[in-house]
Amino acid sequence: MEKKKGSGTYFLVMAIFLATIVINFLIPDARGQEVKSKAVFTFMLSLGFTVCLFYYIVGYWLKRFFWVNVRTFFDVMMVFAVLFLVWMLIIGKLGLLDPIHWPSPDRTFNVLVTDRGQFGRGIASSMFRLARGISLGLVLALPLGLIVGWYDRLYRMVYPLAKFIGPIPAVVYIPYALIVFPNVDQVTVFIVFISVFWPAFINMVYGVANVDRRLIDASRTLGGSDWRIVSKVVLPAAMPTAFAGILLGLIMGIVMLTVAETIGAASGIGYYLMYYKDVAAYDRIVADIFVIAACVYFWTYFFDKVQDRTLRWQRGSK
Amino acid sequence: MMKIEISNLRKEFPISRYANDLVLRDLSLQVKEGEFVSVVGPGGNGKSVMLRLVAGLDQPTSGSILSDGNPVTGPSPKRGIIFQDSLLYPWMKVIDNVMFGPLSLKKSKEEARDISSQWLTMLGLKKFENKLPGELSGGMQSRVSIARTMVNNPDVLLCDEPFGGLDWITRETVTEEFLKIWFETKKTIIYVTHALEEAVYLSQKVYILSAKPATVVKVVEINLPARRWEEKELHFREDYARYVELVRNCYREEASKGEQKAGGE
Repeated sequence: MEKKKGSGTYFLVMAIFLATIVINFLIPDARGQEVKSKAVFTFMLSLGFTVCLFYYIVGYWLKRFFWVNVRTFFDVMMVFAVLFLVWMLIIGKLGLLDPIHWPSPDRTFNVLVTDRGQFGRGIASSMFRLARGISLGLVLALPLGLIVGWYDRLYRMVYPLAKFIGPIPAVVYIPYALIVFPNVDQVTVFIVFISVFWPAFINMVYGVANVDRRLIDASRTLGGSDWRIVSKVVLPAAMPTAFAGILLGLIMGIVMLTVAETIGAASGIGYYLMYYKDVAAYDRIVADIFVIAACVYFWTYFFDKVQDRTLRWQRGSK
Repeated sequence: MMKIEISNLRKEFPISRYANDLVLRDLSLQVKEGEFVSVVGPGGNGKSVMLRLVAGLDQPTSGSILSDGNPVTGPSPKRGIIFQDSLLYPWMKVIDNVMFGPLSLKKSKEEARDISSQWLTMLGLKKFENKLPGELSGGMQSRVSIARTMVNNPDVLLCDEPFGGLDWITRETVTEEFLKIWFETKKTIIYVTHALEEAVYLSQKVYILSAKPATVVKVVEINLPARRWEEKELHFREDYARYVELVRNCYREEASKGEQKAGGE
């Protein structure tokens, strides 16, 4: 019975994917939206359909053994299915909007294939910058935060300062960074670093300073040395708060990466965006937005996995 | 020589530039080696503050605390403390929680594991040693907390309302086990609680404290057999009932004084 309950949505999602494919071939494209090949968009829709079918068939077992929430999966897929259908109808088929500024899904996704070399290099250089900025930020923010949060005097001195300087948006550093650093690559890394550092640092400090006093007292009466208490008790106890800051920093870092690249870089996904704005190739811009979204998703997914592993102990308690 | 000797203890906390909050005033009590002493008093009167001072986690404003004749200057594994809500490390397995103490005292990993396992076995927790504290019931968490403190083999055991968060039936069981452990190990115990009957059931001496600022108002010696858990009819014994009544009356008087004072402020 349980399986039957959500079946309506399941079929609807698959039907929308199929209908979009069929309509795409039956109705001719609007003026200015014509494409040579519909292969890429069709492939994506078929992929959506196939994945849905797969989940529909094995969903019952997935739910039992892997705690996959099949209904939520279909709800999310519904959003994509409807988005693609409406986008295709309004822009691609009816031509209700100016074809120069509003590309159809076919045109947009074709860019992913034709420009794959540029995207590949752009993603590689952007992600490399991001990784350098983030690791530098975390390597400095977390140990410093631990030290500042632990020593009361340091905490009283630094925390108000950090709350004052931290919220300054990293954009304002770009003009100076462009002068100070010899190349744009380093500017971008620096801007990402700033964006990651403050939220991670402030949350780490806050987390350490607010560890339950009694937990530290208990450790002292058990004979724990300062070093042992900091590493085995305070650090893990502060991790949930720290992770909230790291996530914030991660998102800010990605945002600032694209901003910095649109301003000064000579490669990367942000640069690509700016370059094709100047030549008015809006299909490429929309495609790039999808690429950036995918990159952000990858990073937050990776973050979630690390957080789940580190904070596994939280699942049982509370 | 007394195991723990507290004389004229006074503790104030600054609350502003001009005012201090007086929590303990002229508090004196003595605990003999191997004695089980309970300290009861109205809620919020500073019992826990006293225990923290004895543990060395805080310094008194004046007065002295001697442990084996030496002044207490800081926390020591010789004076173990069991807090309310267990206060286990939720990210460590049960066995690692218990091993925290021995490893802190520079015992080898094997030895730490051995003695920790022994205590867990004694408290019926051997099966759960690889679980996380969050996966255990409240009663089991309390037992782990006992094991974590006892494994360090402290001379003195300080208990701050250790089983306060448990439901009544679990609490009775754990309290009984705790009494057995005391009987077998002959530790010196100071047990802070506001459960009067529990205090009578457990201890050889009950100190009744006044409302805040706390001082000792009465000491009741409990002359009941040591192996109390074997006395099936203990709760129906006339002397037991009289002790509970005595402590209760005294406590009630103090609690109402405290309420009047709080209302008059």
